[in-house]
Amino acid sequence: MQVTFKISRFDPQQEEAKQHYKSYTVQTSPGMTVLDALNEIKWHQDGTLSYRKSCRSGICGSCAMKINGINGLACETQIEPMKKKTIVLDPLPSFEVIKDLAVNMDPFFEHLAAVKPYLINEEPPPDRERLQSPEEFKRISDPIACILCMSCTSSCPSFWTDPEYIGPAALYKAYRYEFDTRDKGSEERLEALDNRHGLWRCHTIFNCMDACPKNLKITHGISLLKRKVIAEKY
Amino acid sequence: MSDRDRGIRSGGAFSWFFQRISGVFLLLALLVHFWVLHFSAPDHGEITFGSVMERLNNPLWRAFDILFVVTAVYHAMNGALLIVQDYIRATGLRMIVVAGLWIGALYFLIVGSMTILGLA
Ligand code: SF4
Ligand code: FES
Repeated sequence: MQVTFKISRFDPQQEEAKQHYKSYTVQTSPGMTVLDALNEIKWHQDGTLSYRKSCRSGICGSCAMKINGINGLACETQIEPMKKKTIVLDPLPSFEVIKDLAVNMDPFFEHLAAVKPYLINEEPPPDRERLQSPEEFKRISDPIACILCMSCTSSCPSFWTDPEYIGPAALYKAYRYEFDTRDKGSEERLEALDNRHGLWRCHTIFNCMDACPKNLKITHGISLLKRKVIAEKY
Repeated sequence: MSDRDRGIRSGGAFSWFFQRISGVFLLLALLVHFWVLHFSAPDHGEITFGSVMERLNNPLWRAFDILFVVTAVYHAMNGALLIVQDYIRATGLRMIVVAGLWIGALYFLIVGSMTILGLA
């Protein structure tokens, strides 16, 4: 099958750099992914093309991009089942483009750091592990599977209109620790959650869940987090 | 979070929570309101000026109506405020729109209360 890839290009080093599309034709084979096609283009057709990748197996979260209008992982998206003659690739929306398909990830990780995504517990450590029951673990096993690919945050209309909004990925990470029975950091996380650019910016639009390549129930987690904050305050 | 935002508003928890509570109240109040105003007819099967005035002379009904107006105005204006926060990025324009919302809210509160109290 021959597929045309229409790829968004932007080179900041060029004078009067402007975003534009460039098309490449790739001969696909069964099982070939969008990332394989990008590699094919970069290695054999146009070495100036830039994109992020590392694990090529849906683990590292580097290769998220907009594929035919929907955010997802290039390495997890197979080409032939899409049954498209043309596939359009754009960088993740709402993040500053560094070059071609690579965006500046700093704001994403700053928002993530704001919710203190680590275990907070001042109590002296017990002799052995801090134990959890299987049921207690089940509540947080979903968000633990998040690979921080940015697909959700970049697909969120609330984030499009407010770049300071910490976004679904950070909120979901906060949920992961807030609902961890071993964590005692609620108070410290409250400021990042309960403000104009925090929890209350989520209007349950569900775009994040459509975009998540790991099929995580992000909106559900954020809603539970809202209820927890309300219950603690009132 | 920039310092400017910190000055405007500390959180958003109350606005979120009370929007839901007022929403539920409004839903119930609307049902009551429509029923007594348009469907229930105590006076020989007809809704007359007399029957409406009789109801409005009851201080409990007046209190209910005032509460209804206050909640409706709060719910509407808070909802509009949330939309303003979402979509209007320019500080100047946002201030103008928020000021307009306040004027609108006061207007509806005063006119609504005057109607309820003035009729009785
Ligand atoms: S929740 Fe899903 S979409 Fe969001 S960063 Fe994690 S894996 Fe990616
Ligand atoms: S390359 Fe690691 S997730 Fe796609």
